[in-house]
Amino acid sequence: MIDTITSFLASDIRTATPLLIAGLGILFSSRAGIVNVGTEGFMLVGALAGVVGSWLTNSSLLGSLFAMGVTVLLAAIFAFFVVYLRADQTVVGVAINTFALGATTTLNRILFGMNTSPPLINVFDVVPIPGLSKIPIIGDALFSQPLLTYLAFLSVPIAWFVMYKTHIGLKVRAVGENPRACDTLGISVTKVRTGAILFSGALAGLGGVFISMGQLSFFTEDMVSGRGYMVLAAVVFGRNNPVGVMLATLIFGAGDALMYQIQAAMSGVPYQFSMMLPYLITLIAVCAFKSKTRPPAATGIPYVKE
Amino acid sequence: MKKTLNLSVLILIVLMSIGMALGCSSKQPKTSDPSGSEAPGTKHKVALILSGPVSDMSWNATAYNGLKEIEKLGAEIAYQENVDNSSLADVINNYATGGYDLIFLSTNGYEDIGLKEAKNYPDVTFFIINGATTVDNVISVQVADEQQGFLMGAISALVAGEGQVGFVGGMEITPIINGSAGFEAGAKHVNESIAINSAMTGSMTDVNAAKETAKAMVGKGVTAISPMADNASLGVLEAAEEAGIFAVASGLNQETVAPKAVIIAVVKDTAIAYKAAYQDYISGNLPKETKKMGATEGVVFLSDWYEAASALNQETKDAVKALYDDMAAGKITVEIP
Amino acid sequence: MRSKLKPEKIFQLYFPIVAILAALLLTAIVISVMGFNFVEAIQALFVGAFGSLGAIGETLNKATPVILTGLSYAIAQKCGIINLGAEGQLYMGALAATIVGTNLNGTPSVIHITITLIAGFLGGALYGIIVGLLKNLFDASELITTIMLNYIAMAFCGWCISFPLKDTEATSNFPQSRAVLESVQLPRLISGTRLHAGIILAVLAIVFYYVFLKYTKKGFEMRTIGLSRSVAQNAGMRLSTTSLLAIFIAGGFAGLGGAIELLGVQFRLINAFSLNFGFDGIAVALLGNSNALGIGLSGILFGALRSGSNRMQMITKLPVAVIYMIQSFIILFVIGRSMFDFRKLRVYKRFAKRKMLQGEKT
Repeated sequence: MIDTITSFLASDIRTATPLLIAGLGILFSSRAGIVNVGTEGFMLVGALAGVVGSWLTNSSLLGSLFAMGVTVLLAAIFAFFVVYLRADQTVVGVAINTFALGATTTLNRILFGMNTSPPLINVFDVVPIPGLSKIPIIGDALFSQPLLTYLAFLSVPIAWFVMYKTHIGLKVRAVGENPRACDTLGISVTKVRTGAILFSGALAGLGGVFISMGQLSFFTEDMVSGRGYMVLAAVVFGRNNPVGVMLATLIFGAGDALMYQIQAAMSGVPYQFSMMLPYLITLIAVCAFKSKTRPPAATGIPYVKE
Repeated sequence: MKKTLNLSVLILIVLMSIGMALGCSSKQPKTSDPSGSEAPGTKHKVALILSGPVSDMSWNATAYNGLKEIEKLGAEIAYQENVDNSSLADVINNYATGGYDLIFLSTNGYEDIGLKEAKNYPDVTFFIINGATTVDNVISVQVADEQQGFLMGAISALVAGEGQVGFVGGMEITPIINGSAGFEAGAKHVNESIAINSAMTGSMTDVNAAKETAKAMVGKGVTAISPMADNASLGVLEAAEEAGIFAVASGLNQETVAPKAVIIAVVKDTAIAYKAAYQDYISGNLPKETKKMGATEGVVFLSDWYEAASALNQETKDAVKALYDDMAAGKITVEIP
Repeated sequence: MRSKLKPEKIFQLYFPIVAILAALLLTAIVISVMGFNFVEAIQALFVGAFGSLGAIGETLNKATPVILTGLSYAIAQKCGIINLGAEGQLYMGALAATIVGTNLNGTPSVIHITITLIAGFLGGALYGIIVGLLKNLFDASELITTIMLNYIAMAFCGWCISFPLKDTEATSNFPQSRAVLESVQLPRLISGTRLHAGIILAVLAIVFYYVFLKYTKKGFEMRTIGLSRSVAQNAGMRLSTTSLLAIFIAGGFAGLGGAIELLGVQFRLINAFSLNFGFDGIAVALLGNSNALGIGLSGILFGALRSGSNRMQMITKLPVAVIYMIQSFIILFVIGRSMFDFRKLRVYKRFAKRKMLQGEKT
């Protein structure tokens, strides 16, 4: 039983981490009034770019940086369309997802061949924290994770601080609420939104890197499998607040972990029902935590300077 | 709003007019002349329609290898990946009117629509892999997925020691349903009382879901595990590596992901079935009924023992070999659901 | 109506043409880099979409479900609801249509088709209404609930075709429902093509959408709520019931799309029944600016991309992944066509300014 709890908790953390990393980024663009449906595509590109970078440099750190660089470029394209051309964010996001699926598949096949063994690359190793990882039950689950996992959770208060206590955070929030007023005050709406998108791109890419190099050690086609949409849901569910996003991703992770446990318990439940479980849990949680907070007022609306 | 509307109208008009112009200027050859397939010197044109990507390290990959073999035998080839049932009729129509003589449909999910469309193109021969119907110009060839599963289950049970055996499937499709049933039969064949832990993840691409399911199984006492989920199989093997348990791979080239866990692969090489079908076609000996290809025909076979198998004793290895030989000799039959 | 050929009008012609040309140019570059023949590829794209009667039929068939999911997104959006749930509603519509369409043997064709379509509509509509109820009762954001309900619908349909609705008489154990009866399959409109009557239903749905929003009281209320909830409230409109009606119709459109795809093209419910119709529908609605005719036309554009790229793959042997990239280029350039507005360029602005100044001088 205790083993099951440990395994459940560890599974929860592992599943939540990529969503949290990407969520912390998407949070900022969401606050600035951008709905990024292309998160899925950003993560997929990040997942491949991380593997390529690590393969080229033999370093998981350089690989991650490379991946973030690539997704920032992709985010720049996204920003060009939605901020400068004022094209509809959702349509551009859908197109980015389609593009990412095509481009990553093509490049993966060109670089690593088809149906050959995936290349051996440096990935994130598990770094148990001395002392803490020896605590019964939770130690092995919470303190025996890759470095990036600790960083992701430690970033939550930092993100909260930046969002609510710094000038940058204020600008981001203001641009999402009332771009017109910002403009009159001399804050460049275009610049703030572009910055938020580039930042969200970098973190979404890193979230993707965690999928291919933190949870696994290779890239496969379409491996993000819908997690980008879960990130979007986590940001909304977390009420655009870093702590909320963390809790949301942990709830999603718990749903998934529960599903895996039920699957493995030979309970005789048809697998389709255990598959529904994480989503039902989310639905119930969303209804239970009734919220009056609303999304930023200028969400989805391109800003036209007068 | 009006402006956007007008723009959309214009885009379509532009598209349509170009389409019409091109359509009129390029008269496509309707069909290759019916005698074409017999005329010496002309290349046969062979098409393969797949429901998944050719890079899945498994079902579709071996189908693609089969097509490559057919190319080596002198045919001109083409393939299309990720074809959904909604587009299937259109894709078949494209190939059939584009002069292709032989069209392979890679899954029995295509059987219905394939049978219906085949009636429109009596000069084209259709092969349905895992189909059940053989009539007129449609020939079905079945692959013994349950034999692959049986061997995986039997090997897992042989190496599991005191533990349970685990099976992680991807989507619920015929090869995996049969494979899963075979797995249980194989494990029971070796050890009547062994506990069998079998699950589906519902996805062929979600590697993480497969890995986490495998990890949860390890937590429940599984000590030997087998995946059957295309690319997602790799996640299961990696989980085995991390947990230090044995794994049986379902295709070649999967072992490098988990060198300390994967002892052997039970391969289901549909390429052999494709090649055989093509050879039947050019020799004019098309089968009159649906046949099943498995260990006897070399479609299901064992890889060499990998490094991780050095932990096993010779007795176990011999038992595996004996099981395979019995299966190839037709001494073992596996029931399918 | 008749107006002189003003520069503005020429610009309207200029944008789409340049957008398409730019997308094709980028496509040509990618295809050439991959080592394929791009002239052949682009020609095949057009021929496959519009080159023959059969091709046009195929394009319209593929446009039908995305037009309906597009209408689904659009009508909800008019009432201020972001419906990302068309995918799930389409599945539930198809499920309801499967139940009715595989039973009631002996019913006259017209009646059978009608009630099956109604079942499809209701399947989607009732599933859609869950979103509205959760929003009204618990303030649950539809951005989350719709995504979750999509996954739940897919898993539920998966269970149905594995257990209660599984075709047990089929020749294989592949999970699928029984095929719908002949009497309920949609008639072909033109012999020799696969064009089925679904497109007529899609057109009727478009007309309904237009008339309902423009000329009915409820439609007016929906639009008012979408523009401003407070204005609507002050005007004494009942926000919750009207929103429920909007998501009911939205779900119904999507469900109808699923039913039509079932009765016209696929005949059986399977696991991968929808090819992302729900999400393509969002793009269709937004590309068409949620405007009745715009949705119809952008739906046809999506249908054309699908059927054209099937032919392109056949002719050029390009891998499907490259096709995905090409499709994304076309969508991106069409939605971002204003990038070709050279009037925004600094050089042009400076030039125009100088010209204006000169004009003032003279």
